[in-house]
Amino acid sequence: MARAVMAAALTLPAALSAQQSERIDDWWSPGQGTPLPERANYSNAGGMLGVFNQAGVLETKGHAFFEPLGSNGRACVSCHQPSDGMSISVATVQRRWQATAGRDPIFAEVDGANCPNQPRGEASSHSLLLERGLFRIGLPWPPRDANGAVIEPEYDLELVSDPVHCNSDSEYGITSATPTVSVYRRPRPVANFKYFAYPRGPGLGFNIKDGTPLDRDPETGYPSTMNIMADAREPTLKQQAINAGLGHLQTQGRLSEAQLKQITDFEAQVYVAQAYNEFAGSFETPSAPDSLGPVAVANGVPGLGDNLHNPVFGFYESWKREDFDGSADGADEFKASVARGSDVFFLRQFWLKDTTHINSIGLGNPLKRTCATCHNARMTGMDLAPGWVDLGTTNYPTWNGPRTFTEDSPLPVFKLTCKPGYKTHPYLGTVVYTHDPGRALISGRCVDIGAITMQQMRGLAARAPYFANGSAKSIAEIVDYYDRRFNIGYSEQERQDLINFLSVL
Amino acid sequence: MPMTMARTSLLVTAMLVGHFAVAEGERISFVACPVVRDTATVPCFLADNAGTTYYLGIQQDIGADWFPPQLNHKVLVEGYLSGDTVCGGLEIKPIATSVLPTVDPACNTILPAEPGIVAPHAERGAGPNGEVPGSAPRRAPPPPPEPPFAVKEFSLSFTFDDDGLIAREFGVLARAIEYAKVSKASAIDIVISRGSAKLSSGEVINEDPSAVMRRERLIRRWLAVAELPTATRVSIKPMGEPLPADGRTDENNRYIKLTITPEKR
Repeated sequence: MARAVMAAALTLPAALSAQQSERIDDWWSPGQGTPLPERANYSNAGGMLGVFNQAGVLETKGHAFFEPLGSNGRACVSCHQPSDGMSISVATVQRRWQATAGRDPIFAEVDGANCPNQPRGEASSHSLLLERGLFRIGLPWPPRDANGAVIEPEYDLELVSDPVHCNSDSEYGITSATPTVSVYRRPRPVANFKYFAYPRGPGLGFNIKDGTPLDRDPETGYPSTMNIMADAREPTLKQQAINAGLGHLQTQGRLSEAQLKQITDFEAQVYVAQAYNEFAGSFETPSAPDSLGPVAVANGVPGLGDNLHNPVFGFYESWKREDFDGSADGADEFKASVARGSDVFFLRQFWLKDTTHINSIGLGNPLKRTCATCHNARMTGMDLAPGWVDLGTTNYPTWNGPRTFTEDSPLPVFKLTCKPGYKTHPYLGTVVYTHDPGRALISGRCVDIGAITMQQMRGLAARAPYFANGSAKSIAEIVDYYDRRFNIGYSEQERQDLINFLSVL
Repeated sequence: MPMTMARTSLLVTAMLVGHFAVAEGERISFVACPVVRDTATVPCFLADNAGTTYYLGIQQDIGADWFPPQLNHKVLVEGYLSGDTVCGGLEIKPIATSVLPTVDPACNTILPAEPGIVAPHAERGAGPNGEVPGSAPRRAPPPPPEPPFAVKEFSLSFTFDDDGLIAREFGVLARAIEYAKVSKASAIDIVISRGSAKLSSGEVINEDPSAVMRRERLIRRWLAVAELPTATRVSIKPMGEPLPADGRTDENNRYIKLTITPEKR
């Protein structure tokens, strides 16, 4: 019985691959000016993604999120495509490369190339974007605080290898006139923000993980949730939009207040989630689990999930089938698999070990808990506390690629050596090799080396690859990563059930 | 003393966990690798010292009064023997534990669950939270301070060599800042201690001077966002020399003390 479910689910991506390859019409070009419907579905490997504009049909003509505002022809929508869960999949990137011979604005030299110094139009110049969906994030070195003052880093940073020739570049690199550290990251989904980027009221704002003050909204002075960016460098959606305009869009100056309001208003009301599966049908029927589909996400209540009373992703009782007699059809089997996968996510215990900002914050090392311990924010599965953690995706030894920094990697490798007198990385010690120092490039702190803000888990099927560095090509690779990282030992059925569960979120 | 599966008599315990008996109420202080003992529910954290196994506590949550130690790090254990045995070790209660900062890969022992070894009841277990819906119930905030105002002291405690402010201390700092604001403090005098610990072996270990520096950096970050009255004078005195260890209350000597002097009326 379970084997049949597994087989059915495993054939799904192949069955839909032809359909997916024809998705070119889903592409949203900057300035195309067509209305964005209140509710739209887009096909993907897991079925269909639903996009819901809670404020109703959006006229995109003249709208700052959808119009090219800078010199490179990009709009926000370029890299935050509705069809791709308001991110952009590597498959879409590759299709745009083929369709435009590399002339699409997403390949702009500023960050769509491995380095701005490389010739546009040659695939090798854009290898990280084409192969992993990674955009270059150039960050000032040493770090600066919100007022532009230098933060004295707690570590020395050396470049160990530079396969894409940017950090070593005389114009764009670490020793250039404007010293810059380039790391390469996936665009995060612009949706479902009420669950993790909500405005906090007045108050001191303690980071519950270490007792430091949360960053402030520069306009209100109120603490931020610090969960928007991979490195938490932007405290609000508005600040993100200001700097994304200057950086990614190459605007001549700061976006106007009216433009910023348009962008942040749109971002605050757009919701995405998978809405349909070939076997299970629509997720938006009365008998479907109550947290599936974008409308359910829009109508949910933010907060901390509680596994038994108010689970992060709701209840799946209506899809559970304990009495299969072998005659059940594919729909029932798939639904039952998803329901079991939900139980794996919420109930299957394992040892969480050596994870900075999880084990190191007072919970103990190891911690015997479940996926939902860290993925605790309702509807999104983010960490409601500031969610940057060193999961092991960026620091060596990695569990998702070369185990040591001496092996070939398409990404740059840095050696960070903590200076005396500072707390070191809690599990890797004084010297850490990494291809993305993560939060440490903003905070300057050794304890933050390799810490990346947890990603939301909605619309996964629409936006592969996964993790900030695009190292997991599929949902299956996400599950396998965790299995390796924490030595969980999933059974084949648990693995497939969890994959199916994640594919419907 | 009631007998349960988790708690047995001291006499039996001495035979089970070590080669010498220890007395209830005896002070114990040592540095060792923590050992994790799995159970049917939450894991227990133990530590072996001089041939005796001690029970430190169980896995809890971030709002708990006690935080478990960490594998890959040694732990400083300070406290008093309760006379009970829990989870296969002599219970230390009250207890203070400090995760020592140096990474030590040798500290990496997880023992499997065994019949008869039972962890104490955990309010927050290893699985779903079945007892406390949602997050931990919020305590009602204390009433705002009211005049007449007097000189008042607030103390933030830390573990050995650490500068992390744990959740239970947030309220102390919040009340101190509020008191300074409401009383229009003329002065905040801050003392940052450097602690030490006298171990049961007689050895004394001192906090690294960098712990004082890091605590100072933490309190300065808070002062920068606290929006204190502009007339408030702030002085910060980091200790250079460690406070002497007495082997009885050393865990209380790692602190930031804020003495707030209200505006003179």
